[in-house]
Amino acid sequence: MDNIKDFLPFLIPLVIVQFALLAYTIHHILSHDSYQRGSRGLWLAVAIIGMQFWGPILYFALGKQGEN
Amino acid sequence: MLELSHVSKRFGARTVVDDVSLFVPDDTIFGFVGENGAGKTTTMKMVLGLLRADSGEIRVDGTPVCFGKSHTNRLVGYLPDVPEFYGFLTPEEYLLLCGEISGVSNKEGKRRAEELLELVGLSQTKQRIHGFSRGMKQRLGIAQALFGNPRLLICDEPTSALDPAGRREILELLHSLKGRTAVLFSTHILSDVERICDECAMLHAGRLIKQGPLSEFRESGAKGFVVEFLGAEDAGEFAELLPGGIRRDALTLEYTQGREGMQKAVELLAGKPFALRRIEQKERTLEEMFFGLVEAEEK
Amino acid sequence: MKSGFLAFTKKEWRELWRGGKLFILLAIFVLFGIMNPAIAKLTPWLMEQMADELAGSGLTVSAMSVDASTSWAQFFKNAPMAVLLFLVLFAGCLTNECRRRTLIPLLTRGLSRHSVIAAKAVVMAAVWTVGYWLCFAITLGYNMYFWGDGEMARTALAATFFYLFGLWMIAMLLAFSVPAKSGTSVLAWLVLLVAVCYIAGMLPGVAQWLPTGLLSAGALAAGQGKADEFVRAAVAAGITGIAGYGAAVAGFLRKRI
Repeated sequence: MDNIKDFLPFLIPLVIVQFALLAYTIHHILSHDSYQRGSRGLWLAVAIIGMQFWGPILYFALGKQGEN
Repeated sequence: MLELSHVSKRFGARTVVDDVSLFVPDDTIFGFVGENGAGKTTTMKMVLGLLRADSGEIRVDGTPVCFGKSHTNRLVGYLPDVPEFYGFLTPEEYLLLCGEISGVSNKEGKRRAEELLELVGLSQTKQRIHGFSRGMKQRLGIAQALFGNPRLLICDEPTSALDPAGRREILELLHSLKGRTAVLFSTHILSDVERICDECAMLHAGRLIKQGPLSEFRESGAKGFVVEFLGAEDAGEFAELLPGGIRRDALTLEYTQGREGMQKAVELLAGKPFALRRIEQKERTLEEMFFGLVEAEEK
Repeated sequence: MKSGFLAFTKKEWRELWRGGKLFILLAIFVLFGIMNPAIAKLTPWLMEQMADELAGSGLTVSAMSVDASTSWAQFFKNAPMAVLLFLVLFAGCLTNECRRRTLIPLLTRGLSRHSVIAAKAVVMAAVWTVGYWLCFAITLGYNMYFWGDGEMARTALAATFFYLFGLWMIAMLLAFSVPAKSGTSVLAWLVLLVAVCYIAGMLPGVAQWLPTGLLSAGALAAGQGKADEFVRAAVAAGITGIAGYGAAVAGFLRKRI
């Protein structure tokens, strides 16, 4: 990769959005005590380890507590 | 207010509601009694247009109910047995949503939401609904059901999921609605009915076995009277004066005769200076009566 | 009818926002928008790395030129994934309400059942529209910056065809939601539907009339295939989409809740 400058326009927003996504998901996980399934530790692990957006998606689709 | 005539409902081969005719007058608290599975919820759902009646007619304030349509529901408030709300809303937001759906103005909606939250004791609650206990949900359910100023409030087992304290609260709340709206509530707990109802209907295996004012139930439930004295000698003497009594203990006599028997006893008691503790009509509890009726029905 | 629809739509928005789904979806669409040109930009470098290895085994890789069309190819390659993620997040939107019986107090208060379906359709379509075109705009912005606008008219047409595929999926999602018990089974039915269309596409003559034909809109952007073939698929998607919505409404009116 000879010209890193070429990639800065991608990297900067990419990193910002990824971190926003991760931070938002972690905040959501921590601000709830109970989940539809799974535990806090599990979902934190999934959100952090989950590749790119898969962790957050899995959490919001499956783990987030229903509205009751 | 509510009239059912010859309403039946089958699920497959099973008849769940069988030829039920029922009349709920304005401004009464009407108890709808039956075991679990007797057809109470099904009947209520037909009144609300959530289920189609196979035959018969249901009228709310004279207007027939149609399945799937909701025009008669403007007159009716409904509290499901385990009410579920959107957990991401606060109780006030939920009531405002109800207001918007019923088409009242924002200002009016806000006013009513405040008033009702006050009535059910949730006005201080700012948290979202997902943290609510069952009793709190039940109370919000009543507020929600009353939102449209209904002429008829239908509650499906409002007390069965609650602990004794919560049950008492809800019953008192329902009782306080007298004069504001007619209440039809189903229950399998007979003491709830005795506590607050004016009228009552008993349902067993889909059939209505008895219906009428609670006072009528009481009268027909009368079975003799009891006389209790302060001294054992008095009791013995009276037993000789009025034979046919059963000596339950040293001081108490039980008679199975009806009204005339009691009148005679009072006459006899007045003739001599007996030291009397009490004389009273003996009543069968609603529960005894219910099981008696069920037994008779099954024969 | 109208006040109920508006109130329920507002509730749907609140649910999406407070439940975090709206944010997640928009973030993902943005992410996709950035990734498409990024991958295109990375391709020559990756090729170079591979070339060193391949040279040892006797293969030579000629130098690759990258332009806007490479980035658009990525866009159309990744778009089905975005649709899938979108559907995963929305699959339970009606079945959950039926299962948890949250609709009962609202329906008994005079909310029409048609409003429920209509509000869900409008909100999903709105999120799809905003998210998808946001993704498109981001990719377009990068492409213009690096390579100029390329074949803009053709690309926009192809992107519109794919957009229609998303709308079609939303209509099908609603139609499957009425009989289904859970969001998972709605998703399974949707996957099955696409698979069946894919198999049916092997029959000659049928292929061009299948809504799933819109999935290969990328070929149009790349200059292969004719626009009128996609018009047929779009018409088919329009007709079955409207029928699916109608079935959802009609089925929901009859549903025991």
